[in-house]
Amino acid sequence: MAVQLRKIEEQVMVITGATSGIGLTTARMAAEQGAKLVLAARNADALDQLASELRRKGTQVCTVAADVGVSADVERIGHAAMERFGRIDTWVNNAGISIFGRNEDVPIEDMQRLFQTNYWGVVHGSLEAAKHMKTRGGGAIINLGSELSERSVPLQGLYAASKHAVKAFTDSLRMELEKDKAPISVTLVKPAAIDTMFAVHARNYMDKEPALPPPIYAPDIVAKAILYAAQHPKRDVFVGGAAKAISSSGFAMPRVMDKFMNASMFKQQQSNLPSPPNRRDALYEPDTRNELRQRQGMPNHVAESSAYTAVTLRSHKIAPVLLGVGALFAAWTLARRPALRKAFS
Amino acid sequence: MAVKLKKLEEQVLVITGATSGIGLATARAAAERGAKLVLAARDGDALDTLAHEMRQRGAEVATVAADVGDPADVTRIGKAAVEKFGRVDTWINNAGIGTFGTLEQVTLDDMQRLMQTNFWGVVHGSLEAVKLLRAHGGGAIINLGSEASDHPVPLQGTYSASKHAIKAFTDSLRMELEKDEAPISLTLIKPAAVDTPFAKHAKNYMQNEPTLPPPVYSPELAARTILQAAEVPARDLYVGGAARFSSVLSRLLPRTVDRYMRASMFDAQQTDKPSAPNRRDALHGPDARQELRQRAGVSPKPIDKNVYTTLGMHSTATRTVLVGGALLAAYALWRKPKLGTWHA
Repeated sequence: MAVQLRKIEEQVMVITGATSGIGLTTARMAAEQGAKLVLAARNADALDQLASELRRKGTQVCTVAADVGVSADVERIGHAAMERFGRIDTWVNNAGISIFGRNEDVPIEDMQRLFQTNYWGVVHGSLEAAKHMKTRGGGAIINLGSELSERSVPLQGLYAASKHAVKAFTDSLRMELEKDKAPISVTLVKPAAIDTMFAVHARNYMDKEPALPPPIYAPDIVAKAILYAAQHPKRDVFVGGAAKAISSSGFAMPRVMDKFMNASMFKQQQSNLPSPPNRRDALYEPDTRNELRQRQGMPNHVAESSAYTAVTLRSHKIAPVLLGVGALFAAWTLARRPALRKAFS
Repeated sequence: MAVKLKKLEEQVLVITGATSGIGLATARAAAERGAKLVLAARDGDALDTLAHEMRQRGAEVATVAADVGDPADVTRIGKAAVEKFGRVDTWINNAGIGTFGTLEQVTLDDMQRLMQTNFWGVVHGSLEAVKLLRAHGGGAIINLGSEASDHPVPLQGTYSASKHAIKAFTDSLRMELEKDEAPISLTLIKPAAVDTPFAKHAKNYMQNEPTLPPPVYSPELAARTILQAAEVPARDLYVGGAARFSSVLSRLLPRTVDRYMRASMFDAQQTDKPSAPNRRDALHGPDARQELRQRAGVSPKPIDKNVYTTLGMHSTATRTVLVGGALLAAYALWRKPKLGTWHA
């Protein structure tokens, strides 16, 4: 991908789901690095509050109250960005929601709402981004997949299905844009479990409150990965070594993973607390009581860094070095073999 | 999966998309084996014709005109099965449709219709099947994925997304059923390109008529694979070694496969015949002129026997013995300095 991307401080970034979790963390980090921001979410009040906070620090921000599941809303996001800033350098399709519960217990309407946000939201956003980027010399489309883009899990079947679909869509769009020789980088970010409001916002059909299985990583790691991919074209980024491990094992040993997940994921995706009868969630509407929170705050340990992600982000620099070292070592070992020495003497 | 499944001749099978391609081939093969059938499709007339053909050969058949994208229709399929036969043993979620065109070309409306049939149809069917199978002692659910469940195909982006989603949904439902120790087997079938009216039924946005590039396998091979899963529990079954090959390759070398697909699949999926301006397709409604056809008739002739698929249908133990034995034999031959020295 010979795509040229600008440094963050020169960029106009669109971020959906900007009022919570990964989106919020990314917005704040990008603002600190000087990017101009177009922030979208359903909750206009939360957006205004966030914009106000960022403007006080000197950031140029424009906000759009929008539901990514509605294509007309997503067009308004693109329109607002072009009107205010004249171009879009990076578009981050981050808005997402989940449902915890067995497939047999979740109503079809809830499943469809999840899919509308998680999949169609990404479709709308990606196509809108591509449209504008083609007119202004290119950019980066960054879609939030998940480790569950590659391997499914019980109790979050539709979430996994939506993230699998996002992966296929993203990979197809990439091939088609590359065929067109469009100067657009398309990245799929696949995080492991992240400490955000994910479990709080999710709709719940289990007896107990949802929880995330460890290891859990900080949203800052995802934000860093997103901002890296906004400046250096990357095909895929796993955030958290656990994400890569789940993906590889899922491919290599599906039956083993089935049994492993059944032994662990029913327990680990439920906390000890019962799910309250009047529990609120953000599936159909934003949960206004829980806005502008980057993290839920987990009782268990949250990893603040991921060596795996740090290394693989820069793999294009590291791999040749490793190969070189490996080649030198192989040459040295071979040179020491007596038979070869004899042959060359 | 210690699930016991009945012999096909004792089974009641539900098949969606039964009037065309893989569904039709499966229905006919199952009827020949003596299974009782509940056949669903959107085209009531085609279903009647098919049922008539089968009853003349002694098969017991119920038909339900239904759109799998509509959950109420799918409930009717289940009801009809229980009313006519008292139970369901195997439910095959086969109905599916394609679009050919880039993601930027295809309208959102068409994308959503495809997803409604391909993904939501499988969700509706699977959940209805689970209800019925739980109530009647268990059985098998067989979902048609695709090689596109593992890696996308250019110009079929939404189709690929729908097949990826089916895989994830099927995998999560399987885990949940196993946790419950439900006597229900859940199989994902992943065919490579199959010679059916798929390309004719697909909605086309390309300049030329769509086609599927070789290797193309026969719908009868797919049918045999599906019926195997109806009798012997299996997690995943590929139809066509090419499906497994491309799945593994795209996993190990994603960029290389991207480049290969880019270089070949845009041309290889188009014939040199221009797409007719008034071209009909079966995306939003059945195409009555193209009903009851198992094959489109591609050349070269589709592959009907496939070592990889056949191997996949045997147990791991059998496969290990066969493949291990073959490798051992190859090794023994390689070690012999000269083949001519085979003597005591």
